[in-house]
Amino acid sequence: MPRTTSPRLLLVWAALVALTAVSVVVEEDAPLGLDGRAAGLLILAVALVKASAVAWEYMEAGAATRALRIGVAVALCGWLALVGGLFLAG
Amino acid sequence: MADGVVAVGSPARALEPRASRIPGGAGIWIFLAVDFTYFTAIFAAFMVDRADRPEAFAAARGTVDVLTGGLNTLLLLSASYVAARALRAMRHDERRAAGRYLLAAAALGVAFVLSKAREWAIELDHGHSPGDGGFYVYYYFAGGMHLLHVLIGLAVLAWLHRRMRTGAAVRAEAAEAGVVYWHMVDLLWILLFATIYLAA
Amino acid sequence: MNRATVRACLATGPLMALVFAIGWIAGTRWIPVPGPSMSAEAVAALYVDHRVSYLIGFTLMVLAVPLLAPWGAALALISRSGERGQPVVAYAQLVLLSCCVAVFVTLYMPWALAAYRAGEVSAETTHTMHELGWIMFIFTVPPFALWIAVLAVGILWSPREEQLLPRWFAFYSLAEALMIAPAALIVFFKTGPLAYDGFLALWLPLVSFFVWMQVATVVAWRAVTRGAAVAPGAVDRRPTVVPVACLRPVGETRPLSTSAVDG
Repeated sequence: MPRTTSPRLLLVWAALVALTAVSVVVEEDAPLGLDGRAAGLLILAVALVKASAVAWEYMEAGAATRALRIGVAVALCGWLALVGGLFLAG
Repeated sequence: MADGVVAVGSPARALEPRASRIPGGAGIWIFLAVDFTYFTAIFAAFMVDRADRPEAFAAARGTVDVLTGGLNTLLLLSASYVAARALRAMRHDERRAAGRYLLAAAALGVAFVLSKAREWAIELDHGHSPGDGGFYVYYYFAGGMHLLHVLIGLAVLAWLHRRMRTGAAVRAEAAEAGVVYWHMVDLLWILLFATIYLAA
Repeated sequence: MNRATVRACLATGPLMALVFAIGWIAGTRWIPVPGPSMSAEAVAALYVDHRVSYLIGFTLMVLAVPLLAPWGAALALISRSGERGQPVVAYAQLVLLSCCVAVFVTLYMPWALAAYRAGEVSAETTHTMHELGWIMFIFTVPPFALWIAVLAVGILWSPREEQLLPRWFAFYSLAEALMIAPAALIVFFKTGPLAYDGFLALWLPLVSFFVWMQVATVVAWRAVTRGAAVAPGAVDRRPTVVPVACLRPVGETRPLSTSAVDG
């Protein structure tokens, strides 16, 4: 049985690992001119990328309707915006 | 029940997506939505409390180990990646590969649990307990609730692994639900890391 | 399953919520709650000043709470539709429900006593009664969480064709059980979100529980509409009675049949 060897999963993982590593470095070596929130924002970017990857993976497999995809995407973005907003406001 | 069953190991059948099928079933997404709302409420409460005492929270946050937090993030990201691989293997009826990936995901999950235990042991050693109030309540409570989710996730992975080993078929829905739960456990941790470890 | 009766029992759920809310919001008006950081004198003063409205509030709440029993019983019966043979999950639900109702009712005793003798006993006594009530109200959340979890697991473990309640509701209920369970941690905290006046230990579990109740009522109501007149799997244990004439015809000496029961 032919196996799909799409590198997408690996690439996403690598990107997430890189973003996480950068954010931890940014956090630890605070004097980069940015206030402490930069690291947090990077991690939220990690969350966004990850959530998108999961949604992509699942929507593809399930052949879900376009409406469902859009709905999930909107909900996700809205929710992440909320968390991000709380984060920035706090 | 022939509908949506992954007859993993049986050469004839693969996943047959019905039109408009919700992957994993509606139930798991509802569970995750409610769960996320709950954690968002926890983070919101954290933000509100932090707004009252920013210096105390910032000082407390300075004592937690961001490096270990970062390591834990990497552990869960990798566990999530491997679980995604496992699901793909299941879709292609590659039972042994799926079993190996599931085991790897569980091992990374266990590593997370051990790392967390060590992190907490060190914190408690430094005299920071949940009773210290303020920041630490959230640190331990959010961490604890998340840890509970990880343990549940490990049980789910173990169950899937067992089905792979014994040659039983797994409902496609159940496998997808289990793996998406694991993804969300990872996502929750990322948000926890951002809010509690990095935000203050 | 007699649909009208089951529906009547389900209706007691929203009724309970309504009366409870009136008792809390109009009676005791505990928003915010007199919490662990308040001194004994301050708490006792509250009881003295608001004695009557507190007593009205407690009375309304203690009247409302037993309504949980028929509601929970209806829910257990509807969920039983998925169980073959001995309904152990339904039994577990009923036992837990009884425990919950028992706790929920008795917890008003210390509060009522505190208001009853407010000003006549020492402030410490009033304060202790007040806190006893709170510990009983919140610390005893495990049977509630377990009740909801058992209901959820029962739904998930039953065959889809036979279970009247939808599976998504089971997942929602599992999440709900997770959200209310941490309330048991109140004994470790006197301030913060996990104290008995805290957001995570009181408000979130309390409000989410009542929301869950209303969702459950709607879901169960629809299930009753959808379900068969006799739920599949539910064995009707009433013996079939062969109708016997009540009155013997004049002149007959044949004895009335007494064992017209089979099954």
